[in-house]
Amino acid sequence: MISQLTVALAIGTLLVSGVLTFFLKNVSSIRTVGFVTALVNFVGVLLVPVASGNTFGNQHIFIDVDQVNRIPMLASSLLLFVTFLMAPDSTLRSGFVWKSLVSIAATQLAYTAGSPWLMSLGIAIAWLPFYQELSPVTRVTFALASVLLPVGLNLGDKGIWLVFAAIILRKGLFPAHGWITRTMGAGHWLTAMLVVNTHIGAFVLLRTSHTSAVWLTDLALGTAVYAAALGMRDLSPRRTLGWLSISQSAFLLAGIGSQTSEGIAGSLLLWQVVVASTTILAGIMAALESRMSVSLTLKHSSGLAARFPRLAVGFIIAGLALVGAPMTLGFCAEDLLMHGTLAAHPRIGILLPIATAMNAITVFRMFSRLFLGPVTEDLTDVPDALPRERLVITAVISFLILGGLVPGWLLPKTASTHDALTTHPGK
Amino acid sequence: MTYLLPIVIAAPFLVFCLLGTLWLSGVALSEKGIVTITRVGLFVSTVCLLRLLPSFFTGGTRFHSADWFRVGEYHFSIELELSRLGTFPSLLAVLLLGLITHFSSRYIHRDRGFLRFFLMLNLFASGILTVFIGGALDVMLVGWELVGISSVFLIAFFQEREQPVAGALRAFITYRTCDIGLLVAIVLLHRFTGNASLDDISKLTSQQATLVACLLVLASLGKSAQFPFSGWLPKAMEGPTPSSAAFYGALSIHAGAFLLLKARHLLEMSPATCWVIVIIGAATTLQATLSSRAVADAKSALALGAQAQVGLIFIEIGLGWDKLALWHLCAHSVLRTLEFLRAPSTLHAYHSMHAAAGGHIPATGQFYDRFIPESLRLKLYRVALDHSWVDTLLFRFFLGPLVAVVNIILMAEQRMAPIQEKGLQDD
Repeated sequence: MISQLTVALAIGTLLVSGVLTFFLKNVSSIRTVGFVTALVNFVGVLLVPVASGNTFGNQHIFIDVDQVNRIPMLASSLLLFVTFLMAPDSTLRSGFVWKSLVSIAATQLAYTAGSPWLMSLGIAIAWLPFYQELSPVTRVTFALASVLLPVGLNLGDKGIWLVFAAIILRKGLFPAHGWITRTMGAGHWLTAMLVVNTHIGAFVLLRTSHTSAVWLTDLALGTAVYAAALGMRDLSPRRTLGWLSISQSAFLLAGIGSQTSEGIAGSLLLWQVVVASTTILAGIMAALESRMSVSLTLKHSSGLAARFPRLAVGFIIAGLALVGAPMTLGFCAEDLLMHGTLAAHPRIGILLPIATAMNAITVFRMFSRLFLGPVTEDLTDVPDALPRERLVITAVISFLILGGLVPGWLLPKTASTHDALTTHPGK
Repeated sequence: MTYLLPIVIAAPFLVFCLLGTLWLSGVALSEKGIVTITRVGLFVSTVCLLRLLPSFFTGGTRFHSADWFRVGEYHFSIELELSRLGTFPSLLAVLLLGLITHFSSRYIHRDRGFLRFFLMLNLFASGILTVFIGGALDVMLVGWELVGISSVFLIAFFQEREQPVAGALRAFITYRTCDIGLLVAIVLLHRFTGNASLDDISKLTSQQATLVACLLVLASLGKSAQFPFSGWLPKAMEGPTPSSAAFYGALSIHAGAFLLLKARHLLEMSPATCWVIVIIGAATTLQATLSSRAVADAKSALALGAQAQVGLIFIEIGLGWDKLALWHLCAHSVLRTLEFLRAPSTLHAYHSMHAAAGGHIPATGQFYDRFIPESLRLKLYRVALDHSWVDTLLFRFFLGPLVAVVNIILMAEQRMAPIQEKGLQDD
């Protein structure tokens, strides 16, 4: 009961702050309220007693934190924390904070929901605050998924294909991946991250863990390679980050779909890595773009490291962690994922290291085109990382590196997640 | 005494972390301070190795840590081993890196990237020592990746120019492509034998051994710049001379050969793979020796010379002459380091030699090349200039068609999801 109350308070805090920031005009007040709310939410989720097993489908539970949703809950809090500190002032003026708070509150409601209907409701509401920023294709995709999911869940085993369709749509698997690149291209960098990085599709698969989802792993791995190949050639940093995001987060589905303890644990570790790394990458690019007169491009080298050395270091460490560089949390995640996926899918599992290698090349290509080479623009009066940016970059890098050196403190929970899933399959 | 083994690796890594943290927190260290801290790290590693040296005569030292992380039945524990094979390369590594540190303190003096150079040198030291004393393949992978990352950042050391950045990207692509072999080999070894040790392979069938051996050969080709992945090495010479000496004269280029020496028992189970290694070594030697006669700059000629020698080491490994290969590796490291470090003063040495002889020494014209007919010599020169067309053929028949397909798909994707960016027209 106490845990359910704490979760309700954590989510309620987001909603109350969302309403408060809607009326605030001062940028620094908006940022402060947003940051404090994200922190309170994070601490609340961190301290709440975790219910054992998988509480989904338990009629006596309205909302609760269990072994399955704890990592997604923490990752969503982290997402808020990073975006509020990284967002440029101009973004905060446009109602970004209240939309983010309401959206994440709905997402957390979906994560913690005890019933399929409440989960579907949370998922259906979560994207509405960003309705105006999303492209028509994205709106249609989300609306369709919002309809298919509750219908599929209500039909039980007969409706599993509708649930799978909703997962494919929300996860952005091929051929339904278009909304991710469109979202990256249409709105603000960080808005896109808030929409993409909640990984609703992967979460639904976690909740509805089903043995017939094996083919979904194959599709996820195919999507990972497809997006990785396109990311290597794209000249737009926005779309390239979109491809990276599609490819790396497709691994989440591959790991969960493998139904092995290594695969699931690897997926949940990678969940945190993808959220932390891609949000930092997007935040750094947003920071760069707000300081420059033209858009960032990968057509030629821009030599920005000469002017922004700290942002450059943050970019490359977050990027390398994303693709599994040693001594980072990404390495442990990829190692577990590779073992899990190759054990379950000996043939198609080979696509995972191939996609990882291609994504690593994309990250280094982005870094070299953005930060290395001759300086192309006169940027003498623009600052490197601001104190708030430095704080968040240092915090996330520390998390990625310390998590990589001592991953044990993250793993016991994820291992028991697998037990929770295998103990209650289909719930 | 076994506790000294992790210190060997940790000392330079801690120096890397210390220098990085100081820089990020805004502390400006003097050049003398940076060099002194680096020397202390290498000194600690050297002393630990010397303390462990007596174990060379008693069969080596093994260190086995508690699990780094564990999920279900899978666990990743850190196994280190100072074997008879790894003792001399490790000692050589710390001694040569100490020498290169001393040389670089003057060579890189007052360069803007002074700290960056030593950061990467320490990361490299930690990585290569992990490769040499890693007890299992998954531990070696950590060092293997660190060597790759530090290598590309030092190739791009002069980051304000286009060519070093392009050379770094090229090297990174090759590394990551070949590293897929090592990644998959580790996962397969785990599946076949239950661990990633190369000493415990009795459970492998001949086919399994051949598969894993072939993957390890693929991994070794990238780091050792062997045929057909040899094109990146001359381009890597854009980096500063001391790093070229450390990476492509002394240590990194021999990492592939060392990996194959470590996999000796595996290769014994797969004679076909041994012949493949011999053929690759021979092809590399011929190609590199031919190309080295046509290149115009001293460092590229030395790099190609090193490549040819490593090709010979590969032949020796393929033929089973392990001891000869190990001595060849060590001797070549020392000689090539000297040559690389002398390269910047070649002209000075040339003039000194003539001055010491009391006048200009006439050219003898006594080259092996004159045994080749005049008409053939010109044709061979053309072949040598383009590095035997290896890169051209690779691109035309393998990479080119792939890139073309990706470009067509990308164009279709871009038309479906165009991006409007400020100051730039999307293509």
